[in-house]
Amino acid sequence: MKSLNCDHVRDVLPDLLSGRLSSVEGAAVRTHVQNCVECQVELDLATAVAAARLSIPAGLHARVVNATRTRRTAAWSGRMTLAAGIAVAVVGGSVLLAQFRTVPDVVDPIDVSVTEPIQHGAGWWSVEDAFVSGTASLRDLSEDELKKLLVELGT
Amino acid sequence: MVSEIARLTVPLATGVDDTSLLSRARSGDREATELLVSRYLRDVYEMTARVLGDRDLAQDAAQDAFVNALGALHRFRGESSFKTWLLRIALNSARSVARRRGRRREVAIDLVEDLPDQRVDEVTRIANADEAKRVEAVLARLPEKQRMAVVLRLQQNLSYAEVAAALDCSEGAARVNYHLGVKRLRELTK
Repeated sequence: MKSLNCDHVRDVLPDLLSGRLSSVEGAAVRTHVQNCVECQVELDLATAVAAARLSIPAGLHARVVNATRTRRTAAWSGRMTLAAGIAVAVVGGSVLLAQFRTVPDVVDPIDVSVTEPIQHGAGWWSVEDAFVSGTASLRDLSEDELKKLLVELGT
Repeated sequence: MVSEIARLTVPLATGVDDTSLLSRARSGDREATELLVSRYLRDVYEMTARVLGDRDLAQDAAQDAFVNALGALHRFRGESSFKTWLLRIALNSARSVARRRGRRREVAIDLVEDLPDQRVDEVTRIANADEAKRVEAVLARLPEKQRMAVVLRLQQNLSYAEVAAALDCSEGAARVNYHLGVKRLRELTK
């Protein structure tokens, strides 16, 4: 394998420490380091830093797990509340819609064909009396009948 | 402490991959959620602690990071590894905590509490703790971008591309910040 330069070796020292290098490249890097004081110093420094990891404070694991559970429960409750609200809105809306749909689109015409007098007495006339019950009856009269009617009315 | 470490090592050894854990966590599986927390808590806490330089604030930020990430799993599209995505959220949570508290300590004090490996003998443990504190002190003196690039590269074992994704910068910038950080560390430790 081609000899390695210092820049490349220092670039991959972390990979040597973590075992990411192939066996061939790892061997080449080790050989270079054994013969290079500067790279040896850097490898020692990298090794010291890699080993100086922090430990997990006592109780942190339980604290984090509890926090994630609480958050999940709260989120679940929130989703349930939202779902319940949506369900109420959907049901309410459906009921209202159903009510609107029971009203026919075309309203039946009111039956105005009255065959019996609604009320007898002062101010009311029988609908059979063509001469006095309304102008509609006048249309059926001939001109002579109209003149006769005017005479009878004294006009 | 020992019991907690023992408890944490069990899920780590299960070998369940992130993809299936994420799928289960999305559907509300508590065990999967807890496994994800166990698997990445140290990485996340380390990220927030390196930014904030304060144990208590770092724990707050780590908790925020997990709550935010696990509450937004539907937004994780798998374009990067889950770890990278989570670390980016952790970084944002730490910065958010720093803004809320209105302070960011430049020098870390007592971030190193105990060494995780309880099997080493006492002399070695003390020596390692002293070395860890020495490294801690010099790391804290680096500018944040350099410090985070060094930590992610050397302690989190991320590639330059993954460091870039976690820090939201280009791969070239990640590489430059790493090398500037190491150079500065060498100067500080002479």
